[in-house]
Amino acid sequence: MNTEHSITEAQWMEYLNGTLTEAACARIRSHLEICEECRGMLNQLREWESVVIEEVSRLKVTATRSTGEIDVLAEKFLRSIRENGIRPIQGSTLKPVEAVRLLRALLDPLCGAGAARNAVRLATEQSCRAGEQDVSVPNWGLFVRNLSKNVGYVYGSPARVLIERVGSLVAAEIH
Amino acid sequence: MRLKPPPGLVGWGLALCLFLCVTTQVLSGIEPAWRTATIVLLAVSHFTANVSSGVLGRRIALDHDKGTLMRLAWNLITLAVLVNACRVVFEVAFQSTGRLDSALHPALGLRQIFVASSFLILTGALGAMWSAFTTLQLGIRLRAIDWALIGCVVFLVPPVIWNRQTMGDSGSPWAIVRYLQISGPILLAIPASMGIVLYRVSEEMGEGRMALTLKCLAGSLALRLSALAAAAFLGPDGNAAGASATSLVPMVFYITAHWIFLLGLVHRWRLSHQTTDLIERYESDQENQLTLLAQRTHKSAN
Repeated sequence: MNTEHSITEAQWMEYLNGTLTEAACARIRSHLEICEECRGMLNQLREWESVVIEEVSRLKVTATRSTGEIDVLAEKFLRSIRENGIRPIQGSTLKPVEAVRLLRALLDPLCGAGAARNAVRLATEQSCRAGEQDVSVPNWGLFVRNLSKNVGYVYGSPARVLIERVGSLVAAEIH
Repeated sequence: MRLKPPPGLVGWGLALCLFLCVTTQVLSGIEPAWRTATIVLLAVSHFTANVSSGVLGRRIALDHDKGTLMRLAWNLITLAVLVNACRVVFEVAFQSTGRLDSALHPALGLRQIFVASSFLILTGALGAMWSAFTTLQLGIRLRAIDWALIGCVVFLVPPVIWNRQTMGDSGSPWAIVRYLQISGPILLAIPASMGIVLYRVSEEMGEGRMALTLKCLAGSLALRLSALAAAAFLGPDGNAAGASATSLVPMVFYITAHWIFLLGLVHRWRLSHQTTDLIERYESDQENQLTLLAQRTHKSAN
């Protein structure tokens, strides 16, 4: 997508979340001043992000009230993303970074946003080879195994099994 | 049997114990015979809360794989609360026969062994739990407010020890009992400080039942330390009858501390239930879900 502009998808997502380092943020801001293509792409990402946040908030509310509704809302979440037709990249289905967002949305109400973010970040670092920064299709299985192991270590076997199950289901849709 | 205690039940248990214990304590100021009822109710409250915590703690520990720090932490928590329960039984065995003062009945002072052991085991448990959370980069950096609170806890210890003559077993003729009692504030300050660290972990974590669990554990330890400080500073005799602050404040803090601890374990156990329910849905309906995923993929490709 923007690898020719030397900015990865994960960096764009972190830029939106405000979790990127100051140096990287400054580099992206400088690039946005001169690149119209990236400015348009960023606006698209912001729209996509607002849809994600809205769906995640519904997941969290349900998780605190009752059990067993998160999976139903996770499916609605995925359907909503498609029906809105907002894609960071045209002509693709579910990108690995979007699949990572889905797993994070599943983890947020169970583990807390901070723990979920750290677990995903740690699993990403453990799964990517030197020089890689994002989860890709070939290492998706390794990412899911590492994420489930990290989460299970702190939250127990049920959480580990849940991540393994959902991760394997999502894997069918990643391209 | 699938154990699924609601948090509300713990709240009702706490309210009932507080009401009964405070009422009988107030009545004991009018009729001393009510003092026995207070002692029995206190024992039942502490025993119930600790044994319930032990049952849940063990089930939570079994949720974790063998050899992990979290499994060790929850097993140690189970052991600590069961040692507390044993202490209650030990005390009741003496108090039921009218032996309330360790100065007159030295063997009663051996309860300090249970107290010190429980604090040491709890310290190990919280340390293991904290170490496990650091694998997710949680609780690594403390803020200035955290250090300030830890400092408050540490500075509270010397005045409590200075007022040790107000403690229950200070008059014991056995030196080992007196030394163990003096070490009590120190041994409680350590897990109380770790409770502050776990509270920071819960803040970094965000929402969720685990964060609630950690807040409950931290709150429980803060209440126990407050109870000790109240007992040390408010008056000389924790066995006093009547509705004085000397007798009521430490008692209310102690009862609440044990039940809040139980509440934390209930929240953690319900997290396991919540996750297990989700797994059952995916396992029972996997084919349908895969079909839905395939349909969505086909729709987006068109």
